[in-house]
Amino acid sequence: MQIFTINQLEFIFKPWFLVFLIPIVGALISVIIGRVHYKLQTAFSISTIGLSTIFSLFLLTQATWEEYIIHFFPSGCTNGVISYFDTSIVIDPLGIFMAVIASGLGFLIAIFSIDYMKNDEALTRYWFFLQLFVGGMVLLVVAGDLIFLYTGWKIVGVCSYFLIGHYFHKSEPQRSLAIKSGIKAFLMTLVGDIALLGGLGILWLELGTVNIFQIMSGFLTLTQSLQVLVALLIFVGAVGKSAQFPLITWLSSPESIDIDAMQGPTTVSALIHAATMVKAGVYLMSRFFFVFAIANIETFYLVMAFIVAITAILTASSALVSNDIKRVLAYSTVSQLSYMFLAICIAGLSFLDLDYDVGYHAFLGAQFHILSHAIFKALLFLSAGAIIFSLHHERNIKKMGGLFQELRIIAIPMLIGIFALSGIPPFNGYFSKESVLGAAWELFLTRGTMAPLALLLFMLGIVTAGLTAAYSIRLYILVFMGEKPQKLEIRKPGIFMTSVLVILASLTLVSGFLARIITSLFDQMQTYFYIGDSSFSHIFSHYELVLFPSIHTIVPTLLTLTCITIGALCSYFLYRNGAKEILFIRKNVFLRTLQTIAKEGFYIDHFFQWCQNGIMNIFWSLRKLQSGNLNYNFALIGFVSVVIIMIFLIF
Amino acid sequence: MENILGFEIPLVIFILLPAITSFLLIGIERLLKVSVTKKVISHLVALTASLLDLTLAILFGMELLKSPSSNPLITETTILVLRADLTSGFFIFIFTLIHAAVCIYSINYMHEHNDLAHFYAILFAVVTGLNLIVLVNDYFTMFVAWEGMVLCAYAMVGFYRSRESSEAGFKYLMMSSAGSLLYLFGVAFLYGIAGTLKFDELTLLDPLTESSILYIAILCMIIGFGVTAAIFFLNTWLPDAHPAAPPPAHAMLSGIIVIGGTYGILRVIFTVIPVNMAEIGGTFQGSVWSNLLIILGILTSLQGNIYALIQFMRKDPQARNLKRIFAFSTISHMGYLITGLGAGNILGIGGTLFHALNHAAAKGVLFMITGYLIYSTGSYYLDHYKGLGRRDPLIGICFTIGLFSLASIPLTGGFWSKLMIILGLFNNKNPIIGISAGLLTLFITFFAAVGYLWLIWYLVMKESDQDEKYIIKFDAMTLNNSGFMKLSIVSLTIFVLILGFFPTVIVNFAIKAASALFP
Amino acid sequence: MNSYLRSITDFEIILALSFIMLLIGMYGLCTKRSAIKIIMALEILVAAPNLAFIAFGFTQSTTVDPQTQTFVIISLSVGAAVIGLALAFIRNLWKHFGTTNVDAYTTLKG
Repeated sequence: MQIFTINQLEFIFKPWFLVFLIPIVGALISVIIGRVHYKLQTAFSISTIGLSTIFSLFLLTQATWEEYIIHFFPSGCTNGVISYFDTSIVIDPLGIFMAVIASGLGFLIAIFSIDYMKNDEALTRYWFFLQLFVGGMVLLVVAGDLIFLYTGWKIVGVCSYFLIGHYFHKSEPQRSLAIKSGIKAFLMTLVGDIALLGGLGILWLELGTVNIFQIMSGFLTLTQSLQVLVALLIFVGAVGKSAQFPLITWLSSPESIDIDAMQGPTTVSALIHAATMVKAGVYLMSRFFFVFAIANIETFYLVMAFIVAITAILTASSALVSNDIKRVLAYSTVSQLSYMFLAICIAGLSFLDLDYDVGYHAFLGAQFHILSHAIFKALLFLSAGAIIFSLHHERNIKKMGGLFQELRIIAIPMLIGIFALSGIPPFNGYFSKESVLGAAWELFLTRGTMAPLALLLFMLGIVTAGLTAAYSIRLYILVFMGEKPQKLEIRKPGIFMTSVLVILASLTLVSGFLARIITSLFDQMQTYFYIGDSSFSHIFSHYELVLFPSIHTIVPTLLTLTCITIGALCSYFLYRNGAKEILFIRKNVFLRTLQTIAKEGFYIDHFFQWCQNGIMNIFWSLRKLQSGNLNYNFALIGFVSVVIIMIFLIF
Repeated sequence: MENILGFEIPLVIFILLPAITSFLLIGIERLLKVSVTKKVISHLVALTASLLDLTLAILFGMELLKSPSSNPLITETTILVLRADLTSGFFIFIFTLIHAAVCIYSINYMHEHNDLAHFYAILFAVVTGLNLIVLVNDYFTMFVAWEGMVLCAYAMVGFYRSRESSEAGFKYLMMSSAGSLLYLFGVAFLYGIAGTLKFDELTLLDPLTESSILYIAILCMIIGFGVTAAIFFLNTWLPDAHPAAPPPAHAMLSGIIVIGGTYGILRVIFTVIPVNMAEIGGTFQGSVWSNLLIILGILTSLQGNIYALIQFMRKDPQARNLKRIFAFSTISHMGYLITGLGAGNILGIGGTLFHALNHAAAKGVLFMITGYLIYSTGSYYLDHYKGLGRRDPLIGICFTIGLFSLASIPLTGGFWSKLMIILGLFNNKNPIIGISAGLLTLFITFFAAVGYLWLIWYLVMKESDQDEKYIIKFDAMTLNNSGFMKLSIVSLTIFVLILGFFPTVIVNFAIKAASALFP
Repeated sequence: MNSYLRSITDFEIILALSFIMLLIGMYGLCTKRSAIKIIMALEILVAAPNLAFIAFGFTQSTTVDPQTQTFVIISLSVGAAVIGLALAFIRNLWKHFGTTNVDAYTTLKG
């Protein structure tokens, strides 16, 4: 077992690695610069993230679906133990697309934080972890092997932990909330991380390689049970990171508990917990899609569809009754993430049914929804941040109202974001939702064995779309319409904030029409889908995302639009008078109970807390076994021995 | 077979050298009057003998590594038949290493005690017993060696003759004796079935028919060793006994004496169980025995970590004793060792051997540092050691490195050995048990690492409390006399670092030792 | 006498006795409060495997097996050493606690 066998260490410098090395190295340098001057540090940090953005945009022009892999170690020394550490990055549109989102939004949000974090006491820490996060996220999405992938996965987790707990230097109630939230997020994602590590470990042990493409071609040689086990473990990893049921509560917990990722600065919530990191789960499932396309067992998809359905409906209804502006958006994020999982689920189901075109469309819908959701949710979170900034850290929407006149520069971009979130044409949310739901409808129309499940998922999708429209319109009306409360002091947002909001709003308007470019990026991806079988050569039909439905897709579009309209109109008529509470819900006992349950996040977090207290109590009472009394200890020894012997004699 | 010395090292020397030194030290204690000269003579004798022992063990290990055949060396004397394979060599290396470090350390720590030579004599007697355990060729001699060793361990725990140490020593004695007698009962049954107790003859036996009685015999032996190897709830003596011992003795108890039990279980796996298995036509790996050991190991490590967690929550007067926390951590690491044995393949067993070394070295560092803290502050409690890293950076760094190795941070020895154990579990013939046990071990490791890192943060990083109540000043007078303590701590820390960065030689040794065990 | 009873040999009687002594010893360890009585229980526990050795000595050879006798003598002396140390511990404990009741020896726990 020789560990070091590099004979000739000819490390050729490869510029491709700069895309994640610049922010990571920049993070270390910025700490030193922070000692000199804090403004210089800010400028430096923003410029490293900007450079990373430029690099990833450049890589986007280079990206192909051929296996374009760049190894970290030169080819001369990849024998011996180094072959276990054969790290590489892969330049294909799937990863680079995410890298552009991560670094580009990171850049915009970094500019936003110039104003937002102006008076913060711990700026060095903030910039360090922001840059490290961008570097880690890019590393995660361009990784061509399991080692880089898992390293990036852990880096973003650690950065998330530190940035959630960013306010731990504040005074008491905020301090302990920040600390607890960070730890909660870290531990709950750790469950997923360990499962993911197990899945990746099995792949490495069984196939003897860390390279994703080699794993892809060798995956079919595994036994059936191992394939399903790997699929399950990777799915649990994705669930942990993307906060699906039952691990929702690290991202958004009910108001009575208030220990969640929203305790961090709003810019962090926008970047990490809405736009990029939580999508790492969806990205992971897309990158390892060959696993799910082969895991030939319907139970797995039933479990997945169940989790997606539960998450989407529960979080959308919680968003409908929550009163904290960031909490509404956080619940909405989880709900939209399950839309992407729904698309992946549809894609996997159609590959099982051998409807490759439908699968391709659903897969594309997931990617497209990642993009549009990243943009409009970043816009919404940043608008929320700007509102919170203007109102001196007031987060309760029941105490807002009538802000349209004074904060028009925030209100108009936010309206665009709200329309995009609701899925109203022609904003980008409409196109991406449309493509996901359209794929589900197509799968239903094929009348394969999976058609009933597809119909169910489609119904779920349109119901969620209606709920989404309802809560987003409610949010907007409560914040900007109605009458302004008396005691509200308003300060104007800074120039950096407003310009970023305007840029994001215009991106929201434009990116829906960029569909043609995106589909052409993914056009050649059949090489990616060869699913372990090199003879697989299906040419996917070109998929056009269009503004107006053709005859083929008129039914799902009309159904979706109807649901969205009903949701939006209900919300509009209920709240338009500036009503903070709705009378008939308050009077009706049944509806009121329902409202309370939804507001408490369906008691998932309460259940976790109950479990935690119970486990701690059990641990504490276990202490009595260590009683120190000799007789009891002998009895314990005798008991354990007898139990072991009895078990053996019986079996 | 030639080595640097030009002759073969006789096996008897590993028993005779410490035994004679032990008697010599008792003679010094009896014959000389209490004076500084007597103390210096005892120090010199102990230091020379332990270093000689360590040198011989290293040479012996190299000799074994170089030898082309993997058959055990067998030496027949008039009273004993000694047998040494690579595993014995590996264990002797661990024993003598920790023993030498502890002897250097005791020069400062035990200097104030009047019956110093007795303490050294006990240490040497323990090493004699341990070496004999790994060198004997039959189960009955093993029992005698075992009792001899454990008897000295009881004396070590009760060395201070104080309230706590007497109580702990008495409990340790009673429980451990009950375990040994259970083991002897198993041996009696084994003799009744097989008609022999010799390792090499046992492996050559035909499959035995009376399997249910053999089951009881094997179980009695495993439980008997398990009391010392700190298996799940057979270990209630351990957290009482270890902290009550003097810190150098604690390093011995926690580092090497518990490993003796692990060695016993390993012997049972490779001599008795195959006899039983051949009947069914299977191997140990994937059998019910392997599953039993894996489950016991997982439960043990879980229990150790849970109890260590409880220690942090304690509020009563003797709360948060650092030595007690480390005692529970020992239990959890014994669990990893048992799990690795249960994996039953070369990676698992090699990982167990390597982890035994890593654990012994890291725990040695940590207990010697704990002793150093007790020596310099006069307090036993965790809260009084706060700000350690700021007052004494060298010791703080050593403490951090030791804890890193226990927490299996990458690029430490603990990481490599834990990795080997987990890979061994993944490669187990029974994939369901193997993979779930591997994942559980990973899970436990992650959560234990959080605890260890918390300890680093609390003791090394954090500033001392401003509250006067909790500040205990380091005693400058005693600190001047701590050169040998620091020497011992730092050299063992350097060894831990070497294990982390250049594990190749030791891993080779462990893997070769493990593969020589398989027929 | 029926055939079943006739089949019980001396060997089995002694073996059963050793089992019973093991159980008695364990019972004593678990229930007795006095440290001295606990040591007596341990003494019974020492005797149990030795008796088993004696019993198995019958089966191994037609005459008496010298090996088992050696085993028994050595293990008895080892047991005596352990008991001696235990008595020394009890003396120390009695000095500190003023009692030999093991219920009092619970300063270390939890």
